[in-house]
Amino acid sequence: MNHRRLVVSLLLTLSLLPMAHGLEWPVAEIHLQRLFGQRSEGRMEQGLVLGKAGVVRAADNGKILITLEQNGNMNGFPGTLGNAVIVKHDDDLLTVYGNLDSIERVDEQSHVDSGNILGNAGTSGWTDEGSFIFQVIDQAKKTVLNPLLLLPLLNEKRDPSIRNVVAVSPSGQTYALGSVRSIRQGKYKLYADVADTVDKSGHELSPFRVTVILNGGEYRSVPFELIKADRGNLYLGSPEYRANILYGDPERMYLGEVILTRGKNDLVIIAYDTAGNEKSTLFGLQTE
Amino acid sequence: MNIKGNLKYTITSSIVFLLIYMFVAAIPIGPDLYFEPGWTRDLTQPLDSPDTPLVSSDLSRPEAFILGSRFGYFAPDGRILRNETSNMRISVSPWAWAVYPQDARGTGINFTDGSPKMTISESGYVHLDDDRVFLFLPGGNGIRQYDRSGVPMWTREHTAPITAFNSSPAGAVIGYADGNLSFIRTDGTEAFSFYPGGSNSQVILGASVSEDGTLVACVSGLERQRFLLVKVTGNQHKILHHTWLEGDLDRQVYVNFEQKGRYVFFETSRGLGVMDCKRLTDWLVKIPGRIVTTGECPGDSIFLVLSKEGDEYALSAVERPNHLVASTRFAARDAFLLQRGTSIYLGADSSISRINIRGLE
Repeated sequence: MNHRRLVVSLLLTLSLLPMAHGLEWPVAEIHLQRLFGQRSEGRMEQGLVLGKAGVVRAADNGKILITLEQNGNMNGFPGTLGNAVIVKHDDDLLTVYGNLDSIERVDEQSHVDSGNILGNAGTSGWTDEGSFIFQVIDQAKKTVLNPLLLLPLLNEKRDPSIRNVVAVSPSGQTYALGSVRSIRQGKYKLYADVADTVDKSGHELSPFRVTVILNGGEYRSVPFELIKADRGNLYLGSPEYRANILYGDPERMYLGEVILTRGKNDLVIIAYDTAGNEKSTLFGLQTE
Repeated sequence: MNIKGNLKYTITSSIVFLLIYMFVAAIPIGPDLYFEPGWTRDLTQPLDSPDTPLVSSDLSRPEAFILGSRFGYFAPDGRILRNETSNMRISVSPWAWAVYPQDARGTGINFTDGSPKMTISESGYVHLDDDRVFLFLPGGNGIRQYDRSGVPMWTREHTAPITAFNSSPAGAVIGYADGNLSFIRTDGTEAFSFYPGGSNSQVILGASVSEDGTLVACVSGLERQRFLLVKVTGNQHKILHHTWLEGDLDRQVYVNFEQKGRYVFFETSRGLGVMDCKRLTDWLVKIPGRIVTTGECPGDSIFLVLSKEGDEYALSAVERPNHLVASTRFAARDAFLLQRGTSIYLGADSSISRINIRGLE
């Protein structure tokens, strides 16, 4: 079983390694505040929120698709990106730079080169003062991409954390895994508080993937790679992980449904972060 | 060859032709159009009647204004009914107003007289459009509409930022950075959602919906930017008309139907486009700068345009189809234009003026 787990873990880790990065970090110093797919005001974050951002630069060469302005009169609408620049790159990728102090820098430009200054992080959008909102849209596939898939790899060694894992029966009975050793057979919804930190700031960030392995086989996986839409509702990878389901529990993340059969069940939860660090927790459950 | 005789004949014929032409082709000369100053109010002065209620019962619809950090209401007769300043974000409509911070996590909405109307408990930016309440959700790609008691009616999220928005009693039209254009009825059902395409880069730069919800217009795309007019019938939609535009604008642009829905105004890189939705013809009025707003069309013959170029605003009067009758420029940080029939309300920084259009009757 250990061998199988090792192979699965290795394959997952390899699949998580970001593809050859196509974008550059749009800020000089990286202070991650919120990551892609992270719980944010009952919804999922659509990109990265970078604190103390200062000067914001284009992540790649591209054409300015549109600039958005903080609405200051009655004829527009109050976009929550505030002053923002949206750049179109090759392969139908769009990069979005929100919460800028102004868009004057690019007023007369139609193209930008990688590293060109777009503005400074400001107070124009819905986020913390001085933070910067960065999103990546795949226009052709109609998805929002995790920017970390395309940005240079973060060099950090902190493992994610897995806490407060519970299994909830269809009747609503909650079992704290780790405290209970035996459980009735049947369907359970799994929830856990999974978070990552990358520096001493202590900002709790979302992981890059959470995988549930039951008795040696991958059972469920929550991939923080892309967001899709279905009839006006967003979901993370699979319609099973809509924001209201994924973050329906105010303290934990929904990991999926498992079926525990009679006998001994080994349940492993593995959390990965974008730097490839991982944390796993094993629960041995005697099921009656 | 009798040259003298021919010349005589030619001159006589010409005179006869001119006489006939003068009577047959004559067009009655319209009455002279002129602008008559009404009143001007200085918003730095105290309210006119501080002891009386801010909104009197005979005012069914006060006019709302925002001028930079100043907002409030005024009556057609010139009474300033509310006049406040705020460093926060402001949304104001003839029905209600709200102020909220950059990271609003709940917003109180007040009636025009200041009494509390409802509280939106979710995070985001409140947008009041007449008696409609919207919340733009954090992240830039979601919107929610509430009923008059603050209960969510529908929520719409998409995989690209919202770049255009407009609403009417019939519903809301939303344009996105990936080129999607969606029309959501007030009950939350989707009338249509499609990608107009046709340009090298897809994006919706501006959109509007008519009062009755039967027409939607947008400006879309870069490199072959175009204007589209879409007819909505039940669950069907059809592109009634499209026009390729010369040059590109790569910013949010002005698109707006006049209240009757006969004409729609749209901003282009060369000026203001005007579309006659009945005859499906469009024309261009060369107005430099950004279009801030357009006025209604009293008598269907003249409309006003407020535009901004650099630090100056310009108020232009245009006679259909595209005859620029008059234009005046003024320096201001903030300005607004409201046109109610033959009455114009023009705000500039700390003053509001009423101007009456005369000579149209």
